[in-house]
Amino acid sequence: MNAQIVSALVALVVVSASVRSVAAPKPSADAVKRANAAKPALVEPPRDSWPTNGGNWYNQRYSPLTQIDRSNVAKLKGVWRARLDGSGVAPQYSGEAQPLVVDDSVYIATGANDAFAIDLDSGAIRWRYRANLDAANKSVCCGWTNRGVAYGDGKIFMGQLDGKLVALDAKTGAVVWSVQAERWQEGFTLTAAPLYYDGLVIEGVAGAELGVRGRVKAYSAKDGKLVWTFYTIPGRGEPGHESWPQDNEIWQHGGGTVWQTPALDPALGLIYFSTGNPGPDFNGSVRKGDNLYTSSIVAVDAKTGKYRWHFQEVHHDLWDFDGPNPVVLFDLAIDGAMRRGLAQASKTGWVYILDRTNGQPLVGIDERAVPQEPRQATAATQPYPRGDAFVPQSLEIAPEGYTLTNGGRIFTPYWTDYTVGKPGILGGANWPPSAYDVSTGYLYVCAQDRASSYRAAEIDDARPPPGEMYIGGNFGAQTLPALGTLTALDLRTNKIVWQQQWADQCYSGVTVTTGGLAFVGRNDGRLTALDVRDGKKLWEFQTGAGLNAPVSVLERNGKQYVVAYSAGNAFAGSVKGDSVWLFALDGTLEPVAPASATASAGP
Amino acid sequence: MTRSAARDPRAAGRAVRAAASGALAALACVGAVHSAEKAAAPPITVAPAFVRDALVAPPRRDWPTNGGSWLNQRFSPLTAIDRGNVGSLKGVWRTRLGGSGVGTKYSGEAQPLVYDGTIYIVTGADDVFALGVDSGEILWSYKANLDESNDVVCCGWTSRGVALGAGKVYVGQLDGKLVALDQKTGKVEWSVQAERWQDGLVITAAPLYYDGLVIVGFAGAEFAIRGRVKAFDAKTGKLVWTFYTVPGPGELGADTWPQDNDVWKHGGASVWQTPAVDPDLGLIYFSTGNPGPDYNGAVRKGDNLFTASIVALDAKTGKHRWHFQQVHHDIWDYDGPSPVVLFDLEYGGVLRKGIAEASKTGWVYILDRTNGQPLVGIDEKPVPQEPRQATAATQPYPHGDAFVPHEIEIPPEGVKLVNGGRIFTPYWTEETLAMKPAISGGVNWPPSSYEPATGRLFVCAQDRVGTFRAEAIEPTEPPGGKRYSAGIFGASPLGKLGVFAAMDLRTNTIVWRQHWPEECYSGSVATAGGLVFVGRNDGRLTALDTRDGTKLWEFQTGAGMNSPVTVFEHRGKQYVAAYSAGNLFAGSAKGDSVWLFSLDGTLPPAQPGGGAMLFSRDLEGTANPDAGKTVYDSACMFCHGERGEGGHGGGKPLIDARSAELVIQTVSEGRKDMPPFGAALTGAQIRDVAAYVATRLPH
Repeated sequence: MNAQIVSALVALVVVSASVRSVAAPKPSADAVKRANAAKPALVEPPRDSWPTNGGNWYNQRYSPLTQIDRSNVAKLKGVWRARLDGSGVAPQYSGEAQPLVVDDSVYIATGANDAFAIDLDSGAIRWRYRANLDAANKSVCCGWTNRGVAYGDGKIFMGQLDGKLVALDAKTGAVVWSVQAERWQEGFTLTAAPLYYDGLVIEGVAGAELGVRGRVKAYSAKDGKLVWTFYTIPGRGEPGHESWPQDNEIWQHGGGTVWQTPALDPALGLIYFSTGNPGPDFNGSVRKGDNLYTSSIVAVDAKTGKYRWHFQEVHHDLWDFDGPNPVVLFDLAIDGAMRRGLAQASKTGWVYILDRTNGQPLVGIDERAVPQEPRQATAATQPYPRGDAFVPQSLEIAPEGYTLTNGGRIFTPYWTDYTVGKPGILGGANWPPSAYDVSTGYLYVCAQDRASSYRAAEIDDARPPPGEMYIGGNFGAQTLPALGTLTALDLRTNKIVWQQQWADQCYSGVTVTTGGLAFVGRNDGRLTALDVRDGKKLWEFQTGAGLNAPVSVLERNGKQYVVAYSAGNAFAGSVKGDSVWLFALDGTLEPVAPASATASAGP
Repeated sequence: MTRSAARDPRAAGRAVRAAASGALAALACVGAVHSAEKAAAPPITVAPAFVRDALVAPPRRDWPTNGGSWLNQRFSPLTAIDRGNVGSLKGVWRTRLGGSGVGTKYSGEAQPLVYDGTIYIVTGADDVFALGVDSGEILWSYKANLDESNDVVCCGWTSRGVALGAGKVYVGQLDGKLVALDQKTGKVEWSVQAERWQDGLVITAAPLYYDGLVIVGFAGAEFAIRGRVKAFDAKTGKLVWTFYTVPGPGELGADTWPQDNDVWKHGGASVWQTPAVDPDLGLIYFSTGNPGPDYNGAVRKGDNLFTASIVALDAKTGKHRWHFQQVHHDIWDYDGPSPVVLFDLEYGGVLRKGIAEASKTGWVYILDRTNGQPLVGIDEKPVPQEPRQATAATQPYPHGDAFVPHEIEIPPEGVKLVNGGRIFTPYWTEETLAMKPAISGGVNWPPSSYEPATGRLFVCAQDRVGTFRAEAIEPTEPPGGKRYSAGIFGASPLGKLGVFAAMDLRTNTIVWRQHWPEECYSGSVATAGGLVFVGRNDGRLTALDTRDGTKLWEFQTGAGMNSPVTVFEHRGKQYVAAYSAGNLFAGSAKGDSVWLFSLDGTLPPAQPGGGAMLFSRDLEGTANPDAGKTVYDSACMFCHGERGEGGHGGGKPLIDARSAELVIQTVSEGRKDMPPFGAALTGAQIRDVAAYVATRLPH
């Protein structure tokens, strides 16, 4: 793909997506700041910054830069490696944050919710913010983690595991304001990177295993004042409430959490996000109905938080088939017509491709009858996207200790005996973000191929005590190894372009570039660059700890850089670290020794 | 004292009669942990010359031949230990074999023999021990004192067992010797150089004793050998007959080899396992290994009989009776290394004499053993062609189910998938291709067991992606005793899974099967109590319900449980004897224990063996790359090749292994498909081998 075509495509995207922004091929840092302050300019792929978690508001994680390309990426080396004071290296932490870069500062948050500003030129730490989280917090379901910060209005915004949303002065790290968005004592935690948009800081909550009612809230960036709240579980009298029992109060604990940064289409004025499982996870008997808006993609009005549309990926979910992967917006010609698309890769192993103006399938999704278990109040049908699943959805051979029911296929129901199937609750695409190649229309999905077993516990419909575990059953991951898959899918057809299987799960996320590269990290500490055309590995670099976060790509003073947070992950079992690496073609730092579990056991 | 005497080089070839001396007996007890008062060891009763149909029935009091009976069924008719009570099975005693076979290069794959209250076991060092059932005492031991310079052991120093008959214990050794020991004393009665290891021929199979003959096959198909089975006079060790598994000029099957070169002289087809016998028919049966060179078929156009085949011979004369080739012109190392099993079952209302063999291909081949014709049905089907490999036009596809996957759904990173990675996908020199099964199987050497009441065969297998690439070679005669494989194979980093499957031999279909996170690398024994015993790499011995594979019992033995157990009755009580010694290829913790189990045993499970101890070890000090070469040659060369070029065990080339630090870590902890050696090597050995790899191998 030559640069002219790319520029043309970029321009096309901008024109089709936003009538209010002026297409600027290379927006300056000042322009970004101006845009952040007032105008929606973050639709274009970022060049000299990585100003929002997904790179742009479309969450594409796509860089138009071409200086580092297939032919020279092998020379990529470290420019500097900054250590973050040992923050986030203890066993409970995971480093899942994607660095932000604005002007000459890199902003990163650790699993301890400590935030750092690093001088892009020197690697020196400019300021540090210590969250000093309460170690007594019992509401963190899945590793102490943070998926990033937001930038806007001269501030850095971060959601904390203790339910606080804080605004820090981007220049000094001083707390400008801090609000208790939710209380962790009631099961709420904040793990997603907030979205800054037009004076608002928008943030979802985690906690669907702890009896929460999911929600997304918008705050004034200026002072932290609450502007609107959208409940992902509709209340009495609201549309969708009929998908919950009317004779109990389980809906108030119905889950539907939001782990990721919403995408934004400023032209439509809508934000988009996907939601987690219903509560209780594994017992559907107490929540008859489809359980809206759990396991769904939801569009709400960015200014008001009003519901616009939804698409439920799994009705009455029993398998913890969250939609934790960030939604990606894209514009593609499908059947000759330019369409405003939205794609989300889910734990089910499918990509759901919708028209983002109305939530209707773009490629086709069929409701099909599925096996029934009346005691679980199973949904009669489930949505089956056309095209290819990116992970196996059945088992050929029973893992020892199990007999196979229904071939271990997706949507096999269960009751109080363990039932095994694929993908499991840790299968398919989890939180690791997908990336979208604007030049080809391909989505790159980082996933797991792994079986799980499920068992329901018989519970009644009494309301759970606040902040207590509320899952209504058990699950087990199989002793069979968790494999990874990395898949390129054509969003025009939802079909696999290429795919590869890894010996470890893919647990990092992807960033693609016009240079023809897909950057993806490995549990063993390697950051790799693959050829977007076929997945061939062109470069690898050992960073010294699990590379379990997506990288950011930008240029400064005419030079292209890659920024990576190498910190390990509690769920991947990877070695912990506290490093931010900067890479460039003229870097001089060599790879370090591979991460070693025993070596990292020290302080 | 038994153990120090066994270590004393002056004791070479000489046995120590421990029980004869009170002092020795007392010292021998140091090696044994007892749960009960031990009785005085009764004198050893010797086995008779087993003739006619002596060992056809499933064994009760003894386990007198490697497969339990001559039918190789590994089935015990005993019922005292059953599904209802196996949960209370515990150790009666555990005897340590003086550290024999615990070095890195060894594997413990032998199944114990039992005769009238005495257990006979051989270690990977070819040391043989006689143990009293009542006490666990070592009654005598034989030390083979193998030549450590032997460099033609392809796949771990191992022995799969001994044979018994006419008052002697027979052991085939890695140095090519066949040795007969006095069953009462362990003294060498005779010893013959059956073949020379310097020519690439080693013995890993348990010999077969049958009617005055000791019959044994030879391994070495990676070392340019011509495979063979030989029969010796049990009385004197005199050679009686030889059958070459690769026919010579003018013999039946010679036309399946090129007529214009001498590759047939190095055509492989080794025999790793104990033949089965049908005394009524007067036939012995065995299966054969790959052709040589393994991965380049260009120099050996033709079907390459009798490689990768089941062969029937006249037991008395060694004459060919029939053969069935499982893989024509094999280029995937699809050996038939698992022992053949004989059985009688009704097909279409008629009782048939059957033979079954589970192969690396992932299929069970079920034949009429009177004539070698398929009993269930096997179709010749066209397969993808690669003219440069001179691929066979068709391959045999058994009806029924494969017990491991035969294709790959998702390409493993870094390797190319063509033809969906299906079995029989050809390859050449340009690209490394991935397919299933890998060269390790399917079923490797671990024996299958048979349940007569149901007609089910229990198969212990691996599910693994293999990779293949050929190397172009000239059909020149290779130097004897040198590696002759002409290709690179490997395993993808996706890991080895295990499959344990129950196959119905009437239909060749799966009754049940289960996936394990590690390869099944032990073999099984079934009992009329409804149990199938099978060991695990992590050291557990388990008992599964034959009906559905439900695990009813498990017991940690302290080292990799990588051999099949033996079941017998002594003084009216049912016992299970197990050799827990670990395995080089499985990467399991090494040990030197024989365990005896019964329902009234009192010994609890041991602690799991191994575990990384790297950081408690002395890694300081100056590394000695010369010492490291010794470690490399014994532990690493099998897989990584003589000069780190990548070799037969699936090891990757070490061209980039320049960092001693990285090698230390990899050796200690394992990496991708490579097992950790942190439990098997000392810190100094790891340090030294790392220095050797980093500084002496080509980079």
